Amino acid sequence: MQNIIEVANITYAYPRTDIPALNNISFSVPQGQFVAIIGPTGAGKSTLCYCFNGAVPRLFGGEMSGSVVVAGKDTYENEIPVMAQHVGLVVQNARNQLFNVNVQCEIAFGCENLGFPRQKIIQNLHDALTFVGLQGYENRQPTALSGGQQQRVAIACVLAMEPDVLVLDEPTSELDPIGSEQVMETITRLNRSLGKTVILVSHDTEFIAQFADRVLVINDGSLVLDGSPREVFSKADLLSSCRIRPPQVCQLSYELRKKGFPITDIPITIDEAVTLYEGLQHG
Amino acid sequence: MSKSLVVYFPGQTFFHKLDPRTKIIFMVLVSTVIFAVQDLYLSAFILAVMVILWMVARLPVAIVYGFLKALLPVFAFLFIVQALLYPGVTPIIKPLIPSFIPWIGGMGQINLEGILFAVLLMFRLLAMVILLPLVSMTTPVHILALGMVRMGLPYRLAYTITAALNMVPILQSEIGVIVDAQKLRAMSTFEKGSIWSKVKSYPVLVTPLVIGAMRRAQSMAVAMDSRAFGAMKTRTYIEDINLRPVDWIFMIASTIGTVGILILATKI
Repeated sequence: MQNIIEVANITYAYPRTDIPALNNISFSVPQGQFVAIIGPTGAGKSTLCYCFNGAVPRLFGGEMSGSVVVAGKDTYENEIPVMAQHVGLVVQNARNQLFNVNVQCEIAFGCENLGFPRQKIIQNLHDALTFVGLQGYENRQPTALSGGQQQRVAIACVLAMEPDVLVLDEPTSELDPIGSEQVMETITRLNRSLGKTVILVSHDTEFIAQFADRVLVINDGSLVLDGSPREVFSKADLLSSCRIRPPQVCQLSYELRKKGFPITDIPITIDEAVTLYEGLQHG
Repeated sequence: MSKSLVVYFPGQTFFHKLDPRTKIIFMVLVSTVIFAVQDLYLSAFILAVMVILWMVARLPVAIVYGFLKALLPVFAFLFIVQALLYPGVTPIIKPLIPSFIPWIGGMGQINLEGILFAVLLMFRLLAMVILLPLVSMTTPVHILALGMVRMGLPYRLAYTITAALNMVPILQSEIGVIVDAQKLRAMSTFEKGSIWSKVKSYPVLVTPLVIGAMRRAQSMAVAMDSRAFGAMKTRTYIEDINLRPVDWIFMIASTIGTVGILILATKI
């Protein structure tokens, strides 16, 4: 499979700071992979997200070395609007990324900027709204929607621009449980039904364990672990040293293992845990 | 004042349906007239036209009252200053200070001319203040931006202007949130306090507002660039605007009106 994202040795410090926010990070992502990024607050997860379309360092300033290439386009050589055709970015605060008068204008905004033909924009607008489950919301004011709806509008906005990669920086951290669930469900379908490459920053390790193909652990600006959810969530000590809360089923299994129960493979989903504990009970 | 100030107020009136270009030209013509005309009757006429159009567009009259209320201190100030200082020949009130006192003697005389001049300023100010919402409340901002682009303004500039209009209600609601948060912490100066204590408590309102607006601007810049703002030379617009016969009639009528008033103004 071809790599859609190539990140090579990026080190970056914000203006007027000495401590780098990102420290020699390298990884590559094949097309269609669902990658989750986890790490404690202030680890550099958001900064990393801004690297994919070149907002870091173009908009934020500061010193950067290394290279980020998405869909064959280097962020050094291409401006953010050019990168935006390949990378869709959805940020934490839904309100700040919606700035047009109604949902229709909001979603059409990106496509209009890219100069798509009018008919195609109308089609993409309709498809994107249907995808996020907000048909009939065309004339609503974005600011008057609920947080979860706003975040789904934000996803529809980038989706309509037909990017290869969607980068979502903690899209649910300000949402209520139901809103979160709807957004997470939408994100899963982006990857599973549309085959989009998804980079998701989240603290929701339960969701990640269930749906992500791969987990990157960032701590103090460095990539400390890169593996499947199973590999990552099995490393109890490392996660706790990074102040990351693993899924509760994992925590339970760590504790049981400490108490002497014969658990070799840590279960990462509830279904796996049920199977394992039934085995323990009978065996 | 109403929350919906400068924000699009949906309607199906004749004025709503005018092309944005027509309304922009109208706005330019009326501003010129307001600036050029120094005559009381003509200014009253212009203000009357504004108010009639406001009614035709079925915009809430409460907003005009709101403007009046907000401008009241300004009007009061104008009246006092103009009444006392405008050089006039028709005294209404005799000098407050007897003329035998050296230097300041004879001052404080209130002349009819001063009062009329203050009224003139008030009419012009009010007409000016009504003009912007008359256009911005009857035109959705993205249509207004499209109108500016079709008139030859670069898209970036047109979008910046409309984004600024869009920020007004956002900042208004932000002010509401800040004031509420401070009320919850037992700060009541914004409601009850004296003018002086209100002035003194401004920093606690303005500081979070400005910091919040700057943060918002930063993340909005990221969001706009992430959605390819200004990526292509030729941008598509899903909306379309057309100049209909009624637009031409309105434009010609306002041009004739403008020229007519200007000619009258020079004659007077």
